[in-house]
Amino acid sequence: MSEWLLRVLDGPAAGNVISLEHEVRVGRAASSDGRLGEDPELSREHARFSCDADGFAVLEDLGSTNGTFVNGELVESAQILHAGDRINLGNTTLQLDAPATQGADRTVLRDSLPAAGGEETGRPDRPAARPPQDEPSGRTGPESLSVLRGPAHGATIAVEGGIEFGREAAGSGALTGDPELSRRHARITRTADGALLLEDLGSTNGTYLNGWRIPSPQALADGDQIEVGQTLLELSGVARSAAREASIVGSGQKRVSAQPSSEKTVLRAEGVTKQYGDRPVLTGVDLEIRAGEIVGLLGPNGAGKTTFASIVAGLLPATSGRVTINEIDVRQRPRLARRQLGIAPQDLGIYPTQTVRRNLQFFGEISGLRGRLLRSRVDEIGEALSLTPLFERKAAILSGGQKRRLHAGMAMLHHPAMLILDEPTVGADIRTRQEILDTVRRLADEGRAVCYSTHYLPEIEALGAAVAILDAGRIVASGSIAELIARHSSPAVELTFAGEAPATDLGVRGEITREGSTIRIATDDPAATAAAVVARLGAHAARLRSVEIVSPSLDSVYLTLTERRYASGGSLPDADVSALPPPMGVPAGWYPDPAGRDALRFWDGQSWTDRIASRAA
Amino acid sequence: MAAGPVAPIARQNARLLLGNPGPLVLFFFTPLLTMAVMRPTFQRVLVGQGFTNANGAEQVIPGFITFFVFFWVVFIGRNFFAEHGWGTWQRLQTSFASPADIVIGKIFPAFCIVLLQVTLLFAIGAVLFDLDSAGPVASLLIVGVALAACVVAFTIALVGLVRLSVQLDALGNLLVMVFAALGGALVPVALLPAWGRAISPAVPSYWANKAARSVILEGQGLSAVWGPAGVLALFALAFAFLAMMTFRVSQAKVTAG
Ligand SMILES: Nc1ncnc2c1ncn2[C@@H]1O[C@H](COP(=O)(O)OP(=O)(O)O)[C@@H](O)[C@H]1O
Ligand SMILES: [Mg+2]
Repeated sequence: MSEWLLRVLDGPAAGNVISLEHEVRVGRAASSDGRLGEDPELSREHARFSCDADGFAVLEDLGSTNGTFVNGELVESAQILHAGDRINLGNTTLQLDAPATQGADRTVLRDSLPAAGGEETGRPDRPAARPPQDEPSGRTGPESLSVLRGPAHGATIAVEGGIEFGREAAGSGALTGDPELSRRHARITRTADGALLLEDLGSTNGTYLNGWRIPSPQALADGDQIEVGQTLLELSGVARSAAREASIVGSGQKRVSAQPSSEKTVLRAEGVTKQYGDRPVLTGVDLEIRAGEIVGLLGPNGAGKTTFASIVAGLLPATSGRVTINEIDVRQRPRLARRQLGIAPQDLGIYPTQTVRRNLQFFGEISGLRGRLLRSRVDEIGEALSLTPLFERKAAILSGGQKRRLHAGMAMLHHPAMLILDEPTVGADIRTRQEILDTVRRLADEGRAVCYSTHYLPEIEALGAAVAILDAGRIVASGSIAELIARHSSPAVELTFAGEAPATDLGVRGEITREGSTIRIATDDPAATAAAVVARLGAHAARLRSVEIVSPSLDSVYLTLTERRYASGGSLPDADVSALPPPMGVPAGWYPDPAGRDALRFWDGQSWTDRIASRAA
Repeated sequence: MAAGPVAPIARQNARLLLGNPGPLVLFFFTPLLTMAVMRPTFQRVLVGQGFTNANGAEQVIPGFITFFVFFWVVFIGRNFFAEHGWGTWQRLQTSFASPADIVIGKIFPAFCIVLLQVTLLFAIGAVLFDLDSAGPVASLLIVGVALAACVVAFTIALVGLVRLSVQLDALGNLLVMVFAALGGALVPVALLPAWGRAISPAVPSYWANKAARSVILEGQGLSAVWGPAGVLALFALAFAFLAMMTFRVSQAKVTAG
């Protein structure tokens, strides 16, 4: 039976080695072997390590307050560990070493699992026997670093066998004299199995990986961003190693991903219902949002978007159903769940008596940001949302759009895994809308999951977001815009008349809808249909004002899907269309009627028209 | 703890509470003015009671401190309503902070500020009005601590009890007057009618004034202070208990009118 070892990399007990010969409970007040010192974030008995019958190391959380994480993922049930796995509990980091790897200091060997039969794989004191040229298949290389910011901006640095950064480093490692580098700042090394490791060399300002200051050496993956001094580097050319891909062990055992994979589900809502009194508002919402994905939650006013966001944020209990963020149940472990979350509620939440900078700093601080990182995040958000010139201004005297930008920015400072923006552009001007959309896009590109609720369809299109249409308390359709259009919409011809549309038999196949003065015919061949229909109008042709070929778009999908409820009504009293407030800077389409009716009204890009789709009786 | 949300919330609340000149006027200038105006009257009262060397400061300084200190209730209470109005209360609830973090982050600076005001006002009053204490005034510091705890706990309980800002104003200001009138803050308890004397121990200010009187006029020391300070601490505990029963972080507070 092989003997696994746990090395304490970090925290009060750093340097200790714990043998897994027997079961070990670790924690603040665990028995001798597993005592990890006075780390206030540790529970008394935090987690248990053991070996199963097949010789695998198994980790189980013992109901700790702050959770146990393997390679950044929360441990929910007993979990099989791999050599090189990093286990975080409180402020303590442990690394699991297989017996064969103990000579190779600080290396992460992901393919050194013991054989399933529990064969002897080596003795604890034997150094790694793996020849360095034994590269796993699937590695493409060569890896390189692009300098995105700093004095060496624009340069590309090859990683090859490894590279050291610092003012005294040789060649490109000096980063063209970045003044904030320490003499020896950080290095990237290649492990025996070809993986890349980033390590801080005791620098003054720290080394950051994807925005987080690294406490210990970290394995790198494609697209990782590394910050040293003033320099921001992006890693490319790293292939997913075959060893990582193959890290599924045994039957029914959980896969441990070596890196946060872009397909990881961050938000999972299952059968969420909500009733106010006996009035159902949500009748069963199922929604999943993955890392790096933006989902536009689309629905008319009163559809329940804010109610859903409030349930996710833990402000409201759901009547039934379950919501998890990064597998953490928002009801059972609200504090831990909120640590993964940033939300800009629908209603503004800013301190009017404080400056813009103070508002940002305060929310950064309560999200755990301090010092240099806090300042750089405040600057970053200020830059992204054009708030920098307003930093010293009291929030009370900002314009509506500026307040909206501040409000949204306050939710993004800590780069939450899950970002929820509830109608972030209500009442905003064109520029505010664009800056918020750009910033949301960027955060998603960095791997955050975003839930963006709105009733402006064009914003979803601009974001290139996936869509979830919320109607009558549930998600009636979801998918990418292209999928929805392909599934639910076809081209159409629209004929507009002076006065009521004629009830003539038009003699064409396809779905025909009459809305007041408009007839809409869904058809796959709009040109032919238009010609045929006009020919059949007879005397009514004199009243024909326009013939329009409508190509399928998100708003036609939206109408199709909500058709049962927004069908041809037609006889609403006329509103004074010219007096309605314009939706600034949005393209033509259907929007909730600003005249306040329970209906949609068509905005032609310049002004409101009198085309209305009303709720069917 | 260093990275936790309590410290930033506490700092933020200190800024919010001290962010305008209102408290300076209400909590320093007005009490000092009242003390100056009322001192000669109370000099006659105290001389009549047999304290022939008294100049009136012995009554007006502790008396008006215990009167004005309860104005903090409405002042601090309004800060809760303000956060609801600004939408920041809801935002705090979605942050890393737990409900306990949020409440502790509010209570702690409020307690410190009330204690500081009480201590400073006593010191300034003593210098301005030439207070000549028969006993060691430093021993009254524990009364100040208990009084500040009492004020803050009472605030949370009252905020928990009401939903509208007008209810806070009405109840808060009413109780300030009741506490002051019955507690010997406006006039010494000895001058109250018999029924007033009978119920005065039921208000916290009574105990603060009793302690002040034993030290300043009667020349007693710490031994005479523990008892009243203990009763004040019990009041604080009772209010804290009431606060725990009534205060819900998730309850919406509405500023009306
Ligand atoms: N606290 C509440 N009590 C009762 N009904 C509510 C409450 N909050 C919202 N509602 C109702 O729930 C429905 C959904 O509201 P909301 O979630 O705000 O929709 P949306 O954000 O999509 O506009 C609305 O009909 C609204 O009137
Ligand atoms: Mg809403």
